[in-house]
Amino acid sequence: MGPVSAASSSAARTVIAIRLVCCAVVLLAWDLSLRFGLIDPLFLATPMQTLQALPKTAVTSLPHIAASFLSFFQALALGVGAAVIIGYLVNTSSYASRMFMPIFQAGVTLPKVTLLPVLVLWLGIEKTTIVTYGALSAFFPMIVNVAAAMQEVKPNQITLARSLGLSRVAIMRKAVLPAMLPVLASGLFYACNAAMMGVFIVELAVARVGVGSYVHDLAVTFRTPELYAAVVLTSLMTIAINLAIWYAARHLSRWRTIDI
Amino acid sequence: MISPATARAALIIALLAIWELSIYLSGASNILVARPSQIAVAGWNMIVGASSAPDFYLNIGLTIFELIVAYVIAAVIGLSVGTMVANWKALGDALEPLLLALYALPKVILYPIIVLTAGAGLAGKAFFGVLVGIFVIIFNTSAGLRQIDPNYLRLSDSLGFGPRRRFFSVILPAAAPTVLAGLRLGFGYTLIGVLTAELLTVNSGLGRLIDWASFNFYTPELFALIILAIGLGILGNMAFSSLERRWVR
Amino acid sequence: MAVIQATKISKTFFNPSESRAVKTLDDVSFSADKDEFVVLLGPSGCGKSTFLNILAGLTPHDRDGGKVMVHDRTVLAPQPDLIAYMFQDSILYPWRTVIKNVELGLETRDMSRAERRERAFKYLDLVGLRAFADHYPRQISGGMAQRVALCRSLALETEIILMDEPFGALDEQTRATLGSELSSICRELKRTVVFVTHSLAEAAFLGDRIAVFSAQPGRIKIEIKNNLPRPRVMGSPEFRDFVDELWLHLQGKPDEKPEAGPATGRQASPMGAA
Repeated sequence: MGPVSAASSSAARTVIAIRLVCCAVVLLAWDLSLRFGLIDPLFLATPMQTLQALPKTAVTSLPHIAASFLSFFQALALGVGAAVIIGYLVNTSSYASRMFMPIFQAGVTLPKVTLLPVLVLWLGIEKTTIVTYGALSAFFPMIVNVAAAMQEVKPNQITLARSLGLSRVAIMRKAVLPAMLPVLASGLFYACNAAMMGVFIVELAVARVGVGSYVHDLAVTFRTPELYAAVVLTSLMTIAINLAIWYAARHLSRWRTIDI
Repeated sequence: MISPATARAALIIALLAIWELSIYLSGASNILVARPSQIAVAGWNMIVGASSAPDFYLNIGLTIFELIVAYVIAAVIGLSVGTMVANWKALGDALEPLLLALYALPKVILYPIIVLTAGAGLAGKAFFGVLVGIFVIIFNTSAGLRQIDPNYLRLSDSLGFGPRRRFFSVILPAAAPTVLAGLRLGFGYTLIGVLTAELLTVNSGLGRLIDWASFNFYTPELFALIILAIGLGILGNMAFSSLERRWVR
Repeated sequence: MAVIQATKISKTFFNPSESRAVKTLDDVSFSADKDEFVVLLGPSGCGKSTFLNILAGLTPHDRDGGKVMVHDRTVLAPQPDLIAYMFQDSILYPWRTVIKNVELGLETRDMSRAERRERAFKYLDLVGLRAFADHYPRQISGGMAQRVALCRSLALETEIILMDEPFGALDEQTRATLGSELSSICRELKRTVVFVTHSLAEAAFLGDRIAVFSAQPGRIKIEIKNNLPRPRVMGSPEFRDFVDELWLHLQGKPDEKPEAGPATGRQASPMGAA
C-alpha cells in the first residue's frame, strides 16, 4: 500500500470513528439521563422502550402517514406550480423582476407561521388549511430559485439554438430547461423541506388526521414510548425523502463547472 | 420611468387602499376580515394599554427574550461548530450527512418531545428556536471559511503573517460576507422557530396574545399582532443587512 | 455563380436612451460564389458581424428594398438546411457531451439516431476529436471546443458556412493550427464560406477574396482577389506584401498602389461604394 492510499484510508477511518463516537455519545446520554433520574421517565422513553414500541406504532401510524403525505404532495404541487408560473412570468421582464422579486425574497424568511390563526379563521381546521399553508411555505423558496434558474440561461445559448433553426418549443426543451434544471432541483429541495414543515405544523396545531395530529395525540396522553417511536419513524422517512432530493439535485448539477 | 422600488411601494400602498375600501364598501363581517385602519387602531390600543390584551408588554418582552437567548446560543454554537468543521476536514466529512439529515428533518415533529423533556416554558421554546436557526449558521460559517481563495493565504504566508494576524487580517474579512449572511438568515430562522413554538404552546409570550385574539375573534388585534411578529423579522433582517454593509466593504 | 447574394443591405439601430438612430450598415451589396472562401475584413465595430448576422437571418435588416437571397430563397430567418453559423464563442451546451453537442443541429432533421451518430463521428474524425466524444465541455480546452463547434456546423452539411471571428478568443498557435485545418477541410468538403475577421494575416491566409469594410457607417470599401498560391506560407515575402497591401486598403490609402503582377496576387478591382 503506497503512502497516498494509506493516508486516505486512515482519513476514512477517522471519519467513521467520529461518527461512531457521536452515535455512542447520543445513545449513552439518552440512556443515562433516564437511568440516573435526570429526566422524569414519564417524559422520556429509553432507547429500548422506543425500539419495542416501533412495530406497533408503525402499523397504527400508517393511515396518518398516508394522509400527511397526500397533503404534502398537494401542497408541493400547488406551491411549486404557482412559483414556477409566477416566477417565469415575473422574470421575463427585468423591470418586473426588480419590482416584485424583493417582496418574494423577503417572504422566504418571514415567519409565515404567524399567519396560521388567520388561515384557520378563514379556511377552518381541515385539509384546506393544511394544503394552503404548506403551499404558501413552499412557494417562496421555490420562486426565488426559479428566478435564479432563469439567470442560468445564457443569451448566446439561445442564439445558437436559433441559428440551428430550432422551434420555440425545441429551444425551451433543449436550451432553456437543461440550463435551469440544477437550480430548479435545488429549489425543489428547499420547497419540499418547507412544505413538509408547514404540513406538520398545521397538523400539530389544529388537525385531527395526519402525522402531526397523531404525534400531538400521543404526547398529550403521555404514551411516551410510542411518541418516540412515531417521531423516529417520521424522521427517518422525511430524512430519506429529503436526502433523495438533495442527491438528485447534486446529480443534475454534475455538469456544472466548479469555479476555483 | 419610475424606479422599481418606487413602483413596488406604490403597489403596496395601492393594495392597502383596495383592502381598506373593498371591506368598507362590501360591509364584510368584522370577524373574518379587518380593515387596515381598524388594524392600526387596534395596534395602537394595545401599545398604549387601552385594550384587554393580557399583559401585553410582558408577553412581548418574553418572546423577545426567548428570541435573544435562542439566537445567542445558536450563534455561539453555530459559529464554533462551523469553524471546527471548516478547520478539521475529518470532522466535516463525518458530520456532513448527520447535519444534512438534521437539516432535512422537519424539526417541528420533534416539538412534542421537546415540550415533554424541556417543559412548555421558555426553555423549550428557546431550545426549539436554536434547533431551527443553528443549521444555516453552521453551514454558512463552514462554507465561508472553507471557500477562502487559497491565493489570499499564500500571499499572507509569503508576507510572513503570524497565525493571529492571518486570522484577523485575511481569514476574517474574506469569510465575513458568507458568515454574516449566515448570521442574518439564522436570526430569521430562529425567530420562525421561536414563533412556531409560541403558537403551538400558547401559554405565554406572543403566542398567548395571538391565542387571546383569535379565541375571542378580535380580528383587528390578531392582524396587528401578526404584523408585529413579522415586523420583528423585518427589523432584524434590516439591522443585520446594515451591519453587513458596514463591515463588508 | 452566386450562391448567396446580398443587395443594398442597410441596418439602423435605435438607441432608446439617447433617442438616436445609428446607421450601422449603409447600402451594402455582396455575393459569394460556389466553393469560394470570402473574408470580411475590417476594424472592430465596423458592422461586419452585424452584416454576417443579417446574411444568416439572425438579425433583420432595414426594410427599404434590400434583400438577402440564397439561390432563389429570400433569407429572413435562420435557414439551417442552407446556412451554418459558427460563433466566436464555441457555445457548447455544458450539459451535453461533445458528441451530443455536435448532434444538436441534426436532431430536428429526419434522421435516425444511428445516422446522426454516424455523421457526428465522421466530422469528429475529421478534426481528430473522436476520442473525446463522451467528454463534457468543461473537460476540454478552448481550441478543442472551437473544433467541436466547427464539427457542429459542418455536420449540418449545408452549402454555406458563415463564421464570425471563430478563432478570436484563441491563442496565436491554436489559431494558426486551426486556420490551416479549416482551410483544408473547407476545400476538401467543397463549401462556400464567409469568414469575418479583423486579422490581416488570417484574411490573407484563408481568403480567396477579401471584402474590406469601412466603419461608421459600415460599407464595403473594396474587394480584393487573393491570388497567392496554396498552400500559403505565412512568412513568405509574397504573403507579407499582400498583408501590407490589405493594410493600406484598410487604412484608406489605396493610391499607394504597388506594382501589378500576376505572380504576386496584386489585382485590385474596386467594387462597391467607397
